[in-house]
Amino acid sequence: MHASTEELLSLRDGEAVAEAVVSHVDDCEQCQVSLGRLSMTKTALRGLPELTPADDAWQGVLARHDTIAKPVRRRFVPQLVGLAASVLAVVIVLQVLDDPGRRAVRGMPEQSTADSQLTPTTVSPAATAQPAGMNASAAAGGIPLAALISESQQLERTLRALPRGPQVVSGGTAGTIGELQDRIAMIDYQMSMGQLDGDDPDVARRLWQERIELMNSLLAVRYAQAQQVSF
Amino acid sequence: MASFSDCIVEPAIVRRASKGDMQAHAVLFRTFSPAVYTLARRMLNQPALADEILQETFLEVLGKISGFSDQGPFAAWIRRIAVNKCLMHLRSAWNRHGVGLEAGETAPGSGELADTGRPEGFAEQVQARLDLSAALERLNDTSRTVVWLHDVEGFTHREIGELMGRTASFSKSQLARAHERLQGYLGGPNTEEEKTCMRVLKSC
Repeated sequence: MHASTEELLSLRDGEAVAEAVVSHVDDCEQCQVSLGRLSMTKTALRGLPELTPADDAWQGVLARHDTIAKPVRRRFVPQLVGLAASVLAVVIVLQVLDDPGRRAVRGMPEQSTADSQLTPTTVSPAATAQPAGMNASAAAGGIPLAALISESQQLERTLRALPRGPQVVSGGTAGTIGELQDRIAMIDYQMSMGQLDGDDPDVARRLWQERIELMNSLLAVRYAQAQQVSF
Repeated sequence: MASFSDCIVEPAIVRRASKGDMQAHAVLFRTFSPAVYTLARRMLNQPALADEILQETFLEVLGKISGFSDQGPFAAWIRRIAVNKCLMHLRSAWNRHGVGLEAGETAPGSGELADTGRPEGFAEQVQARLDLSAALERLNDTSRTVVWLHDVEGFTHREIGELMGRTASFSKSQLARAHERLQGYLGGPNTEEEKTCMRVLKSC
């Protein structure tokens, strides 16, 4: 009986084969021919011509590599758009608030009862109440203190009007929001301490201005967050 | 013939590539892309798929090269990635068509031509005898893959069995059947010398 193809292949590749099979192949020319053909086929397979990819194959790899790398950057695009939009919105709001005519119409220099009731407490409790002795008369140049307070209250209302943020936020966004809130709380603490110590109008104005800047930043981040959710 | 063992790349290039050097990446591509592409073309038998495998292989190489250790040969690492990509594709194709690896265990000649959708015309048969490449293409996916991995790339039967989720015996039997088919496509013992041998050895 002739050696099977599997046995001949084992012989060809130097693998273990039964002694009887080896003896047979040694004496059988047909099996030797078959073995030779298997070896020739292997050699011929290894000698098949090289196949070359298209000339622009590397460009294809690079393009896909960029596409894979881009999503991280792409994720920031809506955030940047949202941030830009929020900054623009805040600037417009501030311009409107700074408009003396409009302020007069709304009676903003005075602390209205309605404003006091509307003032939120979520971001900063200290902002809800006007510190004792700090009123429009405290202005000693620059922006009147009452205007600063009113502006801060307006920002609080705008912030409250934003939809709730997503339950899952990035660590970076959460960290930024947390830091801003901490700094606002610190200013509120400083202002409440100022009330105890007897207020310095200049210090009060500086604190309120700083608070407004922080509120603007917080509003920008929250607005961007809201925009991201809508995407 | 582009073989992975023929691809030699300086360790310094690999180190540069692992640090994100794009020029080094390009050097690696130039060095290994013919071998990867040839492997994919031979295993999958379709140029468009080979292009896809080439891209996917190098995307993985670029993505994971920073974690490549100098423990093993770089060429073997890339080859393994490419082979796995091809096998993944074949597995998905097998699954799509509801055909398992056992499809390669059909009796010799019972469906090979149908597998490739080629007519079993005499002219085609004659042409195939002249062309080992064409004969290889006519094998079904499993047989062609085993032949290429074993006879050209030098994988052992045990390695092929593991790659395919089967045994070394499966690989051995697949290789034997593939060679029987190849001999059939190539025309068997057709030279005068071989015919003489066959006549003389009828009683062997």
